[in-house]
Amino acid sequence: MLTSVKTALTAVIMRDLRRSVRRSQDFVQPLLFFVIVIALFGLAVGPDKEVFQEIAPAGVWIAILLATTINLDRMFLSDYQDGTIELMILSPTPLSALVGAKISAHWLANACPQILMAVILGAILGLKIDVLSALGLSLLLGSPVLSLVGAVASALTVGLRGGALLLSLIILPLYMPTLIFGMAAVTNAALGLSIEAELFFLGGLAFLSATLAPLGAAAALRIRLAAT
Amino acid sequence: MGKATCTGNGIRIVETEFFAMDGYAFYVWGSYGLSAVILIANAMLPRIREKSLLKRIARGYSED
Amino acid sequence: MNFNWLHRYASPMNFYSWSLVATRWLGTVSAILFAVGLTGGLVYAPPDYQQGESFRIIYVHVPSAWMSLFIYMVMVSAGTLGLVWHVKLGDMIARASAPLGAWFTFLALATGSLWGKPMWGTYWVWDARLTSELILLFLYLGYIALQGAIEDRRIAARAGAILALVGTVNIPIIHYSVEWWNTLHQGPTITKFDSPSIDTSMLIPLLLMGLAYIFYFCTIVLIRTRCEILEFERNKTWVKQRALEMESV
Repeated sequence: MLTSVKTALTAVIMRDLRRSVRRSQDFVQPLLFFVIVIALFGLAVGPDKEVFQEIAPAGVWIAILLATTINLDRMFLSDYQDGTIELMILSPTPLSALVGAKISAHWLANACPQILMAVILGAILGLKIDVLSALGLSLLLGSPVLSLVGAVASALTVGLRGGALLLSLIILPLYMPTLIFGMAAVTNAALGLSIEAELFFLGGLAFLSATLAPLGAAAALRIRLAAT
Repeated sequence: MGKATCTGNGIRIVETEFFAMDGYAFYVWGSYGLSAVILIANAMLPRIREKSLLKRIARGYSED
Repeated sequence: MNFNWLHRYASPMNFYSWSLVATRWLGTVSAILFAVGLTGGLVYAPPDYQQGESFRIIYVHVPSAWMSLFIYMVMVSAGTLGLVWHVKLGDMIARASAPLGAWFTFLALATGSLWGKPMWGTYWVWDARLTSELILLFLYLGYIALQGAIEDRRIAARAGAILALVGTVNIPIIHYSVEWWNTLHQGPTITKFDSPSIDTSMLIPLLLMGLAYIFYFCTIVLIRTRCEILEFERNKTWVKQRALEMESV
């Protein structure tokens, strides 16, 4: 019985999503972490509303980066431990497609709630509408890049002792262009300038990583699994 | 004003000028000193490591 | 195409032998170049019109920066040779060069910082080149950490090669994104690095120092690669024989 590629990919996405919803670690805790970082940020900046509103988008972006980084090592971990990755390597569906499906599920379960929460919190904390929309759009375009590039690092470090810390050391330099363009968009919006260019750059990064990252992550998984 | 000129007392003056580097001594000699330390250390340590590895292998440690 | 000659010289055993000779020659050339370059830079080059004597830092700063980028390319190329064409020596050279690359990046940042204080009045500025160089240092450190965390050296080498390739795609993106970001928020400082006109008496020592650093890198990486060979191949007979020979000397 041959499964079509579409069925295989849908199955992978649904399985991962179902698992995320069932286990609070994969779903609620990253969201909670995100909110806590923002709260700490607000606490650290202090009661001055003007200053906070100026720096808040930077805080949101950093919170998203940290929340994504913290949860990245889980992407392939349970499948690595129970042997599913080996089955994926052996299956007729291309490994990079399956990896792409896993990354999509990860993005849907982790980044999307956080983006939504970011926009809601932004509105509550009184960010202006153009800054808020710039923040939302830049996060929408930037977070797939974070999940995609993060997947490569996650595949490289899956199952290693101290993997999560190693992963964050590896991934944060690679996240910097996304952060730069995302923040550039927000700062320009605050100044009333057009954010088209930044959004195009972020979109370009998203397409580039969508094409290359699944291949890289698949190669990394094959390399890591040659051991066992 | 060349560094290599020397007149009577000149050599002594030229030397202290050289080390003072016009008041930038800390920055210039700091940079050169840091580079020297790191380059020399990186030149010596691998040789030491190679010798110790060879010694350990000779003693029969084929596993780490 | 017949690549037998490459496999002959690139086999760890043969490489070990010829690199012992090569190291001595390369090391001597490097020492001579350093001597000439330093004399030229510290003694014979005249002080700069605007910066006075502090410009002499250029002779350790710029070669370090050149090396930080050059070594990254060596690392990626060697790693790709190992990843795609299974050339073991590639794996070893990549792993051996990484710490040197990290040190040169650190030196570029440190000496640049020490040059920045007298020149711009500040030790650090979020300029395109400085930030890109800092990120390069993190890339090197991540690469070294990844290789250290995986126990099987061959797998570690392949994983490292993938990471280095991801970094390569990123380096132009990082550099241009930071440069682009910097021009939006015009800093108060103007870097003078791009001035193409430099006096010959200042330029020649710089080129000599650059060459000295390259020969230095080649010497040291050969020694480090020999260490990697000993680690990778420690169960092979030829390694044990060599070790016993050295012991009896």
